[in-house]
Amino acid sequence: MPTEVRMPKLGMAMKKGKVKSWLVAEGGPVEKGAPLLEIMTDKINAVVEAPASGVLGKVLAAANSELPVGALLGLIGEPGEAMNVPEGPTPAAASETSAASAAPVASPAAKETAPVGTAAGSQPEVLASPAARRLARDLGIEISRVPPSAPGKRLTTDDVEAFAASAPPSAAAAQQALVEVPAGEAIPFEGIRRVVAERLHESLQTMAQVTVSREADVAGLVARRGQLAPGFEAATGLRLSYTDLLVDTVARLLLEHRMLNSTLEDECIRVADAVHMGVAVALEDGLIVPVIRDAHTKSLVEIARDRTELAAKAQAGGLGLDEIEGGTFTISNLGAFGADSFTPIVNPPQCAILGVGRIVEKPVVVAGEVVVQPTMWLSLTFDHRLVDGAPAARFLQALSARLAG
Amino acid sequence: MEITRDRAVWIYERMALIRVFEERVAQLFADGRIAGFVHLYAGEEAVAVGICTHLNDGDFITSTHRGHGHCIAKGVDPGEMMAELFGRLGGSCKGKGGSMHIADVSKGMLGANGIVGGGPPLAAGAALTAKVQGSGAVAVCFFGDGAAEQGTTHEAMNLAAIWKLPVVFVCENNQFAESTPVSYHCAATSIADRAASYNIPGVTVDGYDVVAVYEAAGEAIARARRGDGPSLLEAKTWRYFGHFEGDQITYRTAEQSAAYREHDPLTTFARQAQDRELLQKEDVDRIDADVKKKVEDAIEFAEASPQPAPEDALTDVYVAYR
Amino acid sequence: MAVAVRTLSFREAINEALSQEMERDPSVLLMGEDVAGGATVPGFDQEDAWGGVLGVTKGLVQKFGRDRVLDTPISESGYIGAAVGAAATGLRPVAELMFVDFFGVCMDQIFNQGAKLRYMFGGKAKVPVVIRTMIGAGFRAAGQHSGCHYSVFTHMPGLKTVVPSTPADAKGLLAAAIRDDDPVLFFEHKLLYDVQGEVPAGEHLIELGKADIKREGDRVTVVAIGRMVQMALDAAESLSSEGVSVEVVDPRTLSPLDEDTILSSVRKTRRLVVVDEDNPRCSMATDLVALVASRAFDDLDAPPQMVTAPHTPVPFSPIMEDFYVPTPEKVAEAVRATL
Repeated sequence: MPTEVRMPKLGMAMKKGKVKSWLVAEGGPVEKGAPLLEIMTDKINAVVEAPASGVLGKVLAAANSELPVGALLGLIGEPGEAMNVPEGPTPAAASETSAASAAPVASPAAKETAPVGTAAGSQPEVLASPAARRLARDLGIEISRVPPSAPGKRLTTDDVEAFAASAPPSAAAAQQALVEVPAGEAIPFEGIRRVVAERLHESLQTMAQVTVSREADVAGLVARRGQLAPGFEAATGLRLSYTDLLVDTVARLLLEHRMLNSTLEDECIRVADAVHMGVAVALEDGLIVPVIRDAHTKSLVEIARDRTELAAKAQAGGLGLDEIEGGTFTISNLGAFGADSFTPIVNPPQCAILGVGRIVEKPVVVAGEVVVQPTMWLSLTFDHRLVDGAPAARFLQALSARLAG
Repeated sequence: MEITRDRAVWIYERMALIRVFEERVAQLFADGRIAGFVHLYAGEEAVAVGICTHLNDGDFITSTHRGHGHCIAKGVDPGEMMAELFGRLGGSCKGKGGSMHIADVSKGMLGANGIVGGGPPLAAGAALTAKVQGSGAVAVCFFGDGAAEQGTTHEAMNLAAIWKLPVVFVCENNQFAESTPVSYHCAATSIADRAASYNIPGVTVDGYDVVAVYEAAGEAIARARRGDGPSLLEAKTWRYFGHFEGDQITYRTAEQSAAYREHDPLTTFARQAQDRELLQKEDVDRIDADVKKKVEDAIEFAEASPQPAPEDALTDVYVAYR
Repeated sequence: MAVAVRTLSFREAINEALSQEMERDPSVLLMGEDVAGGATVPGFDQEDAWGGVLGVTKGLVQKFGRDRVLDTPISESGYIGAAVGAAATGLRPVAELMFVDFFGVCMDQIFNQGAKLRYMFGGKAKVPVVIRTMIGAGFRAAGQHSGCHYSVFTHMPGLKTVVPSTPADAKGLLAAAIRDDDPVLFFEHKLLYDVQGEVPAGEHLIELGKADIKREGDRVTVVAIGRMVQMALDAAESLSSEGVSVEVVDPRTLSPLDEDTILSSVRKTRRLVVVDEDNPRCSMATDLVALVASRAFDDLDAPPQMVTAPHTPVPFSPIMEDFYVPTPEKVAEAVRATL
């Protein structure tokens, strides 16, 4: 009996998804838990893992087909097994019909191949250094194809580099194409880029956005990180970032400025009783805002751990919808990229977003004396339909005071 | 160095404050509201107060694991002390020291010490600072009869003697090193006699008589301030509580303690001071009421003081560490 | 502005740092066994006395007087503790623990008092004391006068540990240690005292926590401590004739440790050899390997190698002692094992 592969529900609000690409060709071997296909929703990209081992007997949803949650996408079975599409109500394709619905069942040749599980197990173990393995992964080279410099010797990066130089460039080039934008080529306006575009445009169209800015003395922030970081990193293994400290400070401060921690949904201003802090993460092909839940009650260790994990998941494209929904306020830190200040755009349905720039040491006049102080630009964009300028400025004033001392 | 009325008020008030503080701490510990190791000073008040009456904030003391009395006698705020015992941020050590390492450098109190014999070299060093800086300050090293047997105590006394340091070594002989009687653990019949080895004065006083302690300390401290070097003062005393809270005190009898209670340093001094018309009955009653309120205020302060965050554990190791 | 540079011995560089810091700051004073050696004591007319058991503090008592250069009795707990107490109350004492092996008789004052006071007092005290001490094998001094043991102190939070390898580093690091507000253990290898090197004449400070690349290379990173830096440089020289380019990193301070410099060197060369004269269990060598294994695993092309003393006390017999100490040949062998 073949195992069905269906469109998964990746978040509370997900209703449909689009097949981006199959990572295994029809008739190819699959292993339970290994990546099988990529799907896109209007919020994230995700990889669907194979629910069973065997061969991908039938692909029912071709790339680019958009289907509702629960739609049958393909079938996995034993080599040679008949791949009958099960009877009964199958959710219909929302747009394109599956181009592959008439694809043949697994070819007879598949019978002669060994079962997938044992095939993988019988491969000789490759002796390779961690650096060589990483380089091979980066270049898209299968490490088992790289010959050692002497029989029985551990593969090093030198061996992988030599192999890459001698091998045809296909694998490496294909890998490069994913990350580098080729000049003059049309990039489909879709996926995460499209999502980012639509949400930001909607934000600007529907809200009355105003940005207030001020330059803040952040001696206290810098001192706090300097004091905490070494012990913190030794004790937790986590890097303590300025963003973590800002999340900590802003989340607690928002409890005293609740209107800025509100959302506008269904003609109702909802003043949140918890601070779910969105933290903007820059990706290769866009922007995503994972949410640190209940940031106002979390310790610095928990905040740093959540942020580190969410950022890593975001980079790997592994965020679940539940991890990007429900934010009540957002921080966007472009300091690491050298920006001084910018006007961030509110992330709807939230009311406000804080943009922070880099920390710069500047001469400042304090009590008639010129002293050198670390400073940072703070820019708060808020929805003027919900909040007025004075309370927004007061929030920045209070935040500045906390970062100074 | 006659005891004036003001001094008498101060002496009685400090001793009463120590007594009430320690009795309340014993209750709070029994009620499970204070954690860890707690060593109480009740019974020994005359020693700390008799000595510290001669000191000011610029003078230094080193203390022992039984340090609350020394703190109070040296002017450490009882609220901050109680908050420290509660492990709160408002504690004198921000909750990092607890009872056994309670300190307040701003008051010259260089710390209770979890190491028996840990303090004497530190006191010698503080006295060296006073000597080098010419500040006229003195250091007092409180240590117990247990620490009298530690090498550090002897090393520090010798060092202080050869360098003529302004330090007074005060042995609070409460007659037990934890549970072991001094008659067993000390080969000498008098700890004060050991001063002879270092060519410094050594005196034994009744540690239950605050006036006697005050007078002997006055001489030793004046000698130190003059630049004539260290002295050793042995005060024979007795603690009312066990070595630590939870100690069942199986090594001495209730009769022994009752006999000491007969000569309690507080009631003795209150009577003496009234006989000499330094204090009135109303003064004693008022002070008794005041110190009770002070200790209740201290508990209230401690309870209102914020708890530290877990990661506060990571600060204060170094002044600067890149 | 050109900085005057002269050739000094390691011993002279340390003496100069002490002298300049004492001139600069009246709260700096020296104490230790024989640091003046009785010189200038009334009735003791040996003008040219010891000045430290190997002459490192010679001449300082004549310059600064007996109030600031204090001979001590042989009671390490007493005077190391006094140095801690003096530091906590306003002075900047530099105490000498003659040989590091003597830590056994005074560790409480270093570890339970000096290292912990600031923390136990909630950050309301500082203890700016420096403890200078001699380390290292090679003097045929056997078990109780030849150890390194800096790993023991590096393990302890609250202490900083410094192990200089050149005369210039010794001067700059000691001056920085004296000005530092935390307790610093300063380890001087006795076989380095006669090593000559260029040393800046005036004020010379080296920030604690900054490693130094003593030789650049791109094939193998060798991290070496104290006298072992010279072993690593000698090995690097001989390996260069085999076409192997070795980078020699000298951490200079073990706590704080300049992790960034070490990790970025390993990320470049993908290979690590650690050279450490201390015993190998729970040591700087194992700590450095753990650092690289946990933080740069995917950068490694070979298992990290350790060249250390064996896990024994230091033996007396010259034949056995020479076997005990890492040599350039052993370092080169370890480097080749990573290729």
